[in-house]
Amino acid sequence: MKTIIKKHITTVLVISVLLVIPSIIGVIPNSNEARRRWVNDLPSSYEHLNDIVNATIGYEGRKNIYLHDSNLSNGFYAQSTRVYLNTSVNEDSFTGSLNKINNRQDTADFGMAGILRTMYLDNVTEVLDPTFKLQLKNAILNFKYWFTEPGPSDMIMWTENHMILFHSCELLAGQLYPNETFINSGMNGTQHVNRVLPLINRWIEWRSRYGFSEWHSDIYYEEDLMALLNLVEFAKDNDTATKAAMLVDLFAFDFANNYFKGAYATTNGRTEDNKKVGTSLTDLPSRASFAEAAWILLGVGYHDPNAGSSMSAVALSTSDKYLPPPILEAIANVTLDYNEHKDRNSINIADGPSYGFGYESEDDMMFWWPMSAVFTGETIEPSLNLTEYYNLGYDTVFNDEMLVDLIKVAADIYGMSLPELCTFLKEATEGVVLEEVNTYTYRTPYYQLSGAQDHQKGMGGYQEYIWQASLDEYAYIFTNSQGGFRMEDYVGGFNPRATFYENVGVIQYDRLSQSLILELVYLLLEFEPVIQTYFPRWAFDEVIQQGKWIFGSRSGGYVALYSDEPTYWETDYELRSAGKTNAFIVELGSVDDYGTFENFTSSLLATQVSVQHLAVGYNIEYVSPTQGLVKVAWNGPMTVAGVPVDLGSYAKFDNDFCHQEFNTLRTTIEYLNMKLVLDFENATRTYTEI
Amino acid sequence: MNRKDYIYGMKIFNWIKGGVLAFIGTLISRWGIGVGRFNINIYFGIPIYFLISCSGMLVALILKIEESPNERKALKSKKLEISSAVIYVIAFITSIVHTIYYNLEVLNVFLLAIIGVVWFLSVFYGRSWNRKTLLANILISLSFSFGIIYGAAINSSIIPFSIFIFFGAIFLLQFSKDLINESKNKEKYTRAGVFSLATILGVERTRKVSFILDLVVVLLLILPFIPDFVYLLSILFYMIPVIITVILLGIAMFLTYKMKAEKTYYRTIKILLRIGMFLIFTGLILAYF
Repeated sequence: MKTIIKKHITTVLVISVLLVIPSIIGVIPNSNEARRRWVNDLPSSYEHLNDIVNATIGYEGRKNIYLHDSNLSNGFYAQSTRVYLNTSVNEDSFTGSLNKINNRQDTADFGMAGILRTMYLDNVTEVLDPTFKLQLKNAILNFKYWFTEPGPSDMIMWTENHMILFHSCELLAGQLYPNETFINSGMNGTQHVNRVLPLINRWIEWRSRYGFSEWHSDIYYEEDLMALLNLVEFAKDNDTATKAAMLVDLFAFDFANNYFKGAYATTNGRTEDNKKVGTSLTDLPSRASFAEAAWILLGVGYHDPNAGSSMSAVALSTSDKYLPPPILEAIANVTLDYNEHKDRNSINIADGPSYGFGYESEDDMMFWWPMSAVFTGETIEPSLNLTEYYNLGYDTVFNDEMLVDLIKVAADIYGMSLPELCTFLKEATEGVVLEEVNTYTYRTPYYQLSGAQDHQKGMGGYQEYIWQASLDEYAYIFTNSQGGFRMEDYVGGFNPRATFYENVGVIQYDRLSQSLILELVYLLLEFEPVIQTYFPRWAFDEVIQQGKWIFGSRSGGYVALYSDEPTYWETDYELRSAGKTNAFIVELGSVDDYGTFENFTSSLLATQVSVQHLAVGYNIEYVSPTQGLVKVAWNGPMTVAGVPVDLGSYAKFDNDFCHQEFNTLRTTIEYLNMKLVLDFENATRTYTEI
Repeated sequence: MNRKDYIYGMKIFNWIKGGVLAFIGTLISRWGIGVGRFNINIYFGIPIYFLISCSGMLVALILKIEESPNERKALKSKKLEISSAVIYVIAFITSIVHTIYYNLEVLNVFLLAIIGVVWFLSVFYGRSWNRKTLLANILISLSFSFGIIYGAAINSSIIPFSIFIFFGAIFLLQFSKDLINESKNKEKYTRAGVFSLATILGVERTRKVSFILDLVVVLLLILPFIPDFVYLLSILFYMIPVIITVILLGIAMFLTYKMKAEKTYYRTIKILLRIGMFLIFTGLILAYF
């Protein structure tokens, strides 16, 4: 009897222990790692690296300085300057662009925009040799200006920047030769003008309503500016020229709000590695392509005398009609020490119908294609139809014909229609689309934090650059989850859920499990399962690593980055964590807030950080020394000190100088006694000083 | 039982099948789960369930040893008991660490706890039960087929309906295979005084039970073809192996139904059922690829 009771008691005990254990599961704390420190002896500024000219002179002064240096350049675009200044041109500089134009290679439109500007300017100065001018004229008359025209080409015409370049080129060419027959299209110049004017105005209206889907692009704004400045200067239709000038004003407003210590230190919809990554003081990241234009417009950044052949800067400096309203430079100056700026660009594919866009017609596709929306469930079939109808070539529309074949095969295998498959694979097909983005920039004299709030989390990217914390032109950090269909190494990877409030940001990397076929494609494309942090030790005065924190200081500004996963230095400028998930916290501070860098590091090391893994993403609680309790998870709001942070949707512009609702056509910018009203509906640009 | 019998009785291949089924369960239920979590669950889930299957097979072996006339069975049984318990505890603790560190929902630990309770009760009370071979057969089927439920539970506490369908199919197919085996070895079992279903029901009725089980398996396998009933990523990838499986099961059922007392087809039926099992695994992996 005793044995039986003992046996039953044992049974009850074992069962109890087994069933109770799951109920008392807690959290295991993480251990800290040793402290490591790197110190640099950098100059307080980088003036020694560039023979820079500061922004102490006005617009006309800067323009003249640029014209002088551009006149000395042998670059292709600089030849417009020579024509403008009535000096002899270097005809050899045109060879590369002419070849591209005559062979209809991709980016030939860049060259055509330069040639047309040269031709228009030459109508005044008559510098060009008549034989050479005839050669240019033939190139203009032979060119294919839109995909609906016959004839083969490798030119991508429908991204946001290409579209306005082609349209503006067609208008200028048509105006230039109104009665001549354009060989490729068989139309005369006037017919071209009549065809393209509505397309230009459509593009301008989309930008004025919905912003730029290639948001804050430090490469493609250059092309937009060139096209718009050509329209301002040479379009005979006054309304079109005025509206183009108004968009240039908006670019200047954007530069004022996002430039920090000489750099366009903000999130980008499209960028490239070389714009972001510098390996040492002798291998710096390159400047924004429009850096010279921004300097001429507002005095932000600096002038490099060797950059005399910048597309947009040449266009700006050889323009007599465009003048930036002084309010924009005033805002650029007054925001040097503080600025909080929000803006919104683009719309979501799914929201198309509510903005009047469908998913069927050629016109619909002309709205979606500039957003790189060719593979989505909504657009795949009309995109294929349009490609086949005009024989555009799969490589130019879909990047690679193999991808089209692949999705067709996959659709058969999965027993799905193409739209169904593309919707199913939306991590890849929709991830590359430049959908609605709400960007946030916060600036103090010592630092700037900028990012795209909660943008396409977990989706595969193309050229997106989601956030950046800057202490100066080169001392900045960002993170990237390796991947991206553009095959860039440091940008365009899988998007995080990035959330920002003033000097604090929380960036979570994860993504939903996908079809293993898609994972296999990622594997074949050699996407490494790593998350990179660009932290150029060479650019900081001091870098300290302790536990999960890494700190950097530069000229009185401090940055701290917390990485939940262990990190290792891949190179002197790149930290890595293994795997596809990680959670980062970034906090910025300054000598004004903390006194010394040591105080800053010790304050951050003493903070409480809780990072809980969720089925997807994390649940993060962080007690910021400056902001209090910051809470954010993969879904839901971000709260700071119990108050929800506005993560979007934002107004089109929202800062101390302008509040414009999205999808409206009137921008009003005010500062002190100055007021700029850009009315795209009535094509009026009004600047007043009271 | 000699050494070879022990090794055979441990059914090492079933440990692997347990791990594979945990993988399939995780695979099927991964939608809505982050890729990082999915990978971690694969890294932890497969070894954990491999060990759980192993401990379950050892429990089943203990029960079989109890039927053995070997006079040293108590000693061997004790060693197996300790081994089974140690392996189970390792798996259980690992799952707790996995759950705590990665903040998983706790259902997977509860399921392993329940499995632990079943193992414990089977050893503690089952060995004195006169139908312990039947219990052993159930444990063998359960210990690896349950892997698919465990695999799904580490992803989420909401387990897709398809998981239970596939669990049922695999469990019943294995059980049917064991019944065929018992029918084949009925005389051997009877001579040894070992209880088996074939001993109670007789070979004829046991085969009929096996036939019915195969039929249920076939029905379960074709359920996903009903539109919008079960989510399959690739119906084509599922259909090809499953159609072959259904054909093989049909042949096995036909042979089971046709054969009388002679043992001519036992081997063929077992092979057909084994191939069927393999194809189901393949179909499931491909269907959710």
